[in-house]
Amino acid sequence: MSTTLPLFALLGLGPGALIAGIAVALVAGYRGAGVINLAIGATAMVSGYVFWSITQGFFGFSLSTALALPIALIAAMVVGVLTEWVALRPLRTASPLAKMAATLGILLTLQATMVLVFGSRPQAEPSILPTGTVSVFGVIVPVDRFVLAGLVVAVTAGLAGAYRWSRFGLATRAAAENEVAAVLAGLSTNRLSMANTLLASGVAGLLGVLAAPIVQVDSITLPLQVVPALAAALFARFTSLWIALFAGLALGVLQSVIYFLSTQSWFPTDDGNALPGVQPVLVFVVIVVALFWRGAALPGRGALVESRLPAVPVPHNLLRQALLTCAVGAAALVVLPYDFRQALTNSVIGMVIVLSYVVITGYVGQISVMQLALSGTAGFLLSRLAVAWHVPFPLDAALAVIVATVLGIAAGAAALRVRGVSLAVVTLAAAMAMEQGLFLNTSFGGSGGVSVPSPQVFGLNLGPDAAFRGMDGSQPSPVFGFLALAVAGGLGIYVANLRRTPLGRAMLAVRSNERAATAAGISVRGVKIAGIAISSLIAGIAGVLYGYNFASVSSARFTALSALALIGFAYMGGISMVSGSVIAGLWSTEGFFPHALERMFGLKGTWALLIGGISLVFTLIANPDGIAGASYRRRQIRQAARAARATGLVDRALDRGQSRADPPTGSPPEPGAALTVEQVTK
Amino acid sequence: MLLIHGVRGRFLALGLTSVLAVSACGGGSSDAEPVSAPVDSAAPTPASATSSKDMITDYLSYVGGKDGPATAGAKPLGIGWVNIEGGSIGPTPEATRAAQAAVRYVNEKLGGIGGRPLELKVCTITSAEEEGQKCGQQMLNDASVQALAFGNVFLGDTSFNSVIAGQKPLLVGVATGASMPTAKDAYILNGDLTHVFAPWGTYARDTLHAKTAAVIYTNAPGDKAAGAAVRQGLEAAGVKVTSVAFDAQATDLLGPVTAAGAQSADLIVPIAQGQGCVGIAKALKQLGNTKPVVATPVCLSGDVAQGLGGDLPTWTYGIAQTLPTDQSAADAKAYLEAATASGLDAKDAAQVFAALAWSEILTYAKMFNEIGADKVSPETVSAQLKKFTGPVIMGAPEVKCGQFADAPAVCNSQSKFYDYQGKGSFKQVANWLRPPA
Repeated sequence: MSTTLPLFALLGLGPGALIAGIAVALVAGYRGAGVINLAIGATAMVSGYVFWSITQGFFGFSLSTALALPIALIAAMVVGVLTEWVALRPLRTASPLAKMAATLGILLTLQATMVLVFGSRPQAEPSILPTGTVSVFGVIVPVDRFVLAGLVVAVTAGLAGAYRWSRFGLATRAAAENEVAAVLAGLSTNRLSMANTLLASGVAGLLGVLAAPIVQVDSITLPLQVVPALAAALFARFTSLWIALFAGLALGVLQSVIYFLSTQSWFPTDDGNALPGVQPVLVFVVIVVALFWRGAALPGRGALVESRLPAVPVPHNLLRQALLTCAVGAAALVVLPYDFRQALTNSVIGMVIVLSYVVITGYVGQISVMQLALSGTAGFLLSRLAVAWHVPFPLDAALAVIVATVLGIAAGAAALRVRGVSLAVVTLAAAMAMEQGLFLNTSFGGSGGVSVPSPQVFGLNLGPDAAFRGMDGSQPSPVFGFLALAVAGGLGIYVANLRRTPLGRAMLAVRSNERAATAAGISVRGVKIAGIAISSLIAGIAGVLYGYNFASVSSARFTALSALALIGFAYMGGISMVSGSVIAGLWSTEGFFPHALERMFGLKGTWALLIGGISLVFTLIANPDGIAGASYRRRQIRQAARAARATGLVDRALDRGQSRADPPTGSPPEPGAALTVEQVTK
Repeated sequence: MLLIHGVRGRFLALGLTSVLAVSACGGGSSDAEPVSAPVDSAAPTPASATSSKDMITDYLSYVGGKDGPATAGAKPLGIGWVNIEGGSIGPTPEATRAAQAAVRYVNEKLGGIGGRPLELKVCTITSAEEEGQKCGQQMLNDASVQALAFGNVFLGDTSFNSVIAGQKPLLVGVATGASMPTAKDAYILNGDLTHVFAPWGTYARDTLHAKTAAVIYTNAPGDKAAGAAVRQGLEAAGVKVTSVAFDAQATDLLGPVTAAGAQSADLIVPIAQGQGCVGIAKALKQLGNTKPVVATPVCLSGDVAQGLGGDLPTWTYGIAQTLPTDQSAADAKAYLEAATASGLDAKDAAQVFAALAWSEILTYAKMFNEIGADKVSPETVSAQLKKFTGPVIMGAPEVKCGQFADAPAVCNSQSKFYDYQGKGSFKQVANWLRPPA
């Protein structure tokens, strides 16, 4: 044991160096642009593909390593430039969540592009590191791990030196600490952002080439390294390159040591195997420790233009709209052919899970990625309750939802000090820990999925296999669609109405400014707990609906990274409005619109992913409030224009819908308030 | 299009990758060594030796058809076919192409089914569980579909089976979906992720004389179950096992490989998918491993070959079928000739899931002929499948469905073992082995 642990610590240097390198790139990018770039791992992937393709003759010619390496780095930097121009700069005034969602769109786009260009097979990238081995504690260890770790340390030292002693570094630190002051000092924040994005992309690109001994080039491995790297970067508060480096290395080392510990007889087991999910749990614990030790909030930038969250308008004609929508939905469930009926049901369930984001993110301003994991928890519990313990419907569903809600509250309460993007990172880690440690654990979830019986009340089947089969007489039954629609409609009305209640207003106050809310006598803690409870409850209901819809629950349905995509597209639909959840639901996986496009144009697979990624980025740029928010804004502008005409104060600019002025939260612009001033300092 | 959840598969690649055999590494195995008997003839657990009479080479007599084409204009009999393709996670489109070639072969060479042609109704899954549900509904609602068959379906199988729920029989060659062993009215003729591992203990004990084994597996649904199964199989044969799991997103596998004791064990067993196989192969190569490695055919993948620079790892592979590239085997030769004659590309034909697809369709043709074309229905096909005891085309000489209480769909627990010698060359080192006595 005395030499074994140091040995495994050394063996962890390779993966640790990769995590550390990407964490350093994340920190560098955040320093410059103030954005957590989820696509940084994908940038490394692009560099790796380019290096592989031009050294291996993919395009019909081969270049030497000396030429291919700079080309690969340039490719990574081109990705960085495009990311800056296409996504980050147009969204400088948008909320951090919108920026993060945009980088998610870039990630999806890059993944799909690489698959379309180079195919889905992983490729063996030639290593440029020495290939010898050394004997450490009697065990053979390749030297390239040490070299890789050394190079990452060297790059970090170079970057740290540049930030510490160069004028560029000084300017970057100035802008990172106070953007306004930096502008007043004559610094161009846009140029600084671009330069740092290039640096970060360069580091990622270098990793894409250097990591060859431990990874192959594919569309998955390197992009996913951003998740543990986020933990390391958070430990460094997205500020300190050295802390990010050592945290990344430490994560790799700890994971390696866990491999050894898992072979020990005392290590807990599951079905004879070592307990799964210990490593993601470890990442989660590291993040929680980091938040307590280093502070919950990321450093502010004193931004030039204060970013804002999407508007949360007060709903009007709520009941009428809800009843009309449900009536149309119910009729469609009966009339439509079975495949569209199922697609509509999928959309309705997608709407429910997005509703949980409307509450927690749209209203309370907390970016939680663990909603889908809570759904999965409810789904698995439902199966246990119904199948193993024979608890009847609806008691089984209610208990499953309650437990998921309690779990959500417990997790949320533990993270009460955390907010914003930090919360997104900690909940992402929590979701990964739940996925690996809970859903794959046979005593709770299971490897092959678990079954869920159809809901029945007094012998009346309410599931997809109910007797009534719609006009075409085919499965699925519209009855389950009715049930899902009723649940979604009820929740939609509740969430929309919540905006009008004192609790809803308190949520918005907390979202806007926690200190101001406290000064106004609002219990920030209580409001957050209430928001977490409501959103967890809704997520739990969505999980139960998923279970009934598939008549089964499997871990593959509730992965943490699916949750990331979910939150991105929820934002695109309009994360602060119930109508946004409807839009997001209609675009959900195998939802109504994707199914229609597949039927009409045969669009699915990688092309669909590419279009999805591009759409996410450009929709966010065009409508930082999401599609529903933009629609609401246009409607308000038209109403204001009509009111202005009625009073003789016609403003054609308003009529053309050119103003981007924010209406006061929830209320339309006052008639006659035609003059707006914005971004005069740019 | 805007896939709220659909990126899951792409991100995580949870499923097993395509099993492409050797086409990616240079073509067929014309230089393969002749088939040999089990290396250790003193093996106490008898191998189910496949004599040439057990090998199916005469398809006409096997399916009980008539020489010539099906009757033109006759009403076709539908077979529903589901496969994963069109996305980036382990697509195996060659399975669908092979199934289509088999249907053509039956219709053009074997007289159809009592003169009626077969018709393949295809539904594909790219990346989401919902697509499995959609395929299930499509197959269930199509009255012309009498029976169902899977290619390589490792995603969407849970929701598919929930929809079908035993209302139509489902034939599977190798089940890569974790829910398949317990699916209702399903028949897995070659093997699943767990039960074919029991003979690995026999092989380790009797052929390799191994006392210790290092098992390295991915912490993913299918591999986790397989890891437990192979450990049980080895321990049942008296082999001491150290097993270590690694996450699907893990990069450097030097740590788990070392932790499992690969540097000192008598035998190394990787249970992983394409990228995991590559990672383990790289780690073992870097460690200068010389110990025997016994892997699943999932590592016989074009992905793996590509990831390692063009060729597969020179390991031993435990597999529940005759390798299609083993041209010294009469059944493989017959398959390659018939499949390519029916328009299947030779590279496709050389791949494992293509051979399985071919076998499944022809097994259905046999069932349908035995039932009689006019009496074919989901119920009669199901009854016929229940009675089926083999032999299976390129599969085990005898099978018994329902032999495992915990996996009623699994019909076989025998495996063959092949050494891969590089450059597309395989050598059979053990014929059909049974679990340790």
